[in-house]
Amino acid sequence: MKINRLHKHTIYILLATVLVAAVAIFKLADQPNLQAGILTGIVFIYLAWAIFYHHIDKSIRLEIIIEYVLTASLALTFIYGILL
Amino acid sequence: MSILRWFIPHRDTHQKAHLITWQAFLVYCLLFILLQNGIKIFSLAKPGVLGTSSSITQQRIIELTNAERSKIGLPPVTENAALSQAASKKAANMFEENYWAHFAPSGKSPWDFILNSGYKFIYAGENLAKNFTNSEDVIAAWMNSPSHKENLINPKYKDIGIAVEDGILNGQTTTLVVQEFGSRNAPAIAGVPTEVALQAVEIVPTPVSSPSVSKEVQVVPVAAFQQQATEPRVAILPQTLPAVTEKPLFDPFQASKVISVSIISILMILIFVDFMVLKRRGVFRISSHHFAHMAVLSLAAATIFSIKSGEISNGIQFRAPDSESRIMGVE
Repeated sequence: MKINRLHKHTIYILLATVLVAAVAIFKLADQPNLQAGILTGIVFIYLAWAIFYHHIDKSIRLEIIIEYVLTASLALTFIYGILL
Repeated sequence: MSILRWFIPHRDTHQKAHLITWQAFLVYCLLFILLQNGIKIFSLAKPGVLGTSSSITQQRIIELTNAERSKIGLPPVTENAALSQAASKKAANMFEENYWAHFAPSGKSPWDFILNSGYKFIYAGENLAKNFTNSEDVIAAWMNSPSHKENLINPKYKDIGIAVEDGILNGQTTTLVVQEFGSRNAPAIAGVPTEVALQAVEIVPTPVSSPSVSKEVQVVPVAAFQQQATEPRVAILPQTLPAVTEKPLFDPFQASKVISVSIISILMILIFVDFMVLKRRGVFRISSHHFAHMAVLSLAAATIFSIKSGEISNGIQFRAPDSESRIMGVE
């Protein structure tokens, strides 16, 4: 299957998305709510990517998903903890 | 248990280092939430110990405001003692009633402060900011907000009044910036030229002000002063204003930034070490993707690093046709 061969390269799409988001975040330095919004969006993309990647890789496990969820939670806890 | 197990994968099982397991991540989340709540509780228990200290000055805010106006060819606004007094009273009222908004819980509006200071306006506007560390960031934040920008570069305004006040808001030492705009087409006292009407009367502030609170002499226009004849003089600086006696111990905002960026940096190093050690050992382990974690964590660190302190509310404007006033727009 073509998708099985390609899925290993999807990490580059995620990294490129994060890079674009990082540029946007620095450009919006005076608008913290927008910055937090962008990070939240990227976190959801990251979770969706993780499920897709590990599903195709046949390596999806509850422990792995928990790791992704907690990494995402940590990022959001820090941002919203500082802003609120 | 080897101390290395906390930092690098297990020698035999190749399991992740303890500090980057999901259990550890859960602990970090909970500890950070606990820290944030601890700061809030401490702020309420010991008001004034934590907070922000700033280098904002009234003159710099006016200079930067006029710089923004001149960029689009507008005439500068001139400092008006009555508006500055209104701004000062508004800031004092926010500390007194412990609120952060244009309208006080007691029902006072920004226009009440302006009118009570003796400034009979045709148009007026108010911008608020708190906890910024310098004047440039305040103006930049206002210029990025449409409602504040509308006030800053409004051709209808001729006068400006600024108050930069330190006090205690929600238990934390806070720097409030109140910016009042206004324009009027008649002198404050009928038959008396504006220049004369605005001749300053010096009022020595009551001793509630502290070293960190501006000790500048309060200047009140003659017209406003005469209108306030029935009011007690202490009303200019309320006695109930919490005194800020010394600089805050630390700024919770900056402390939270440093702590969170430090934790993220350590985690990223440990995740990278995990990746390198597995690669060197030539081991494949079914686990989450190292670079995905590092990407999201680095984005979080970049966001935290770039977030500036300070908060603005929405800018508001007001128009007073003749003696009857009505709100033009409140966002």
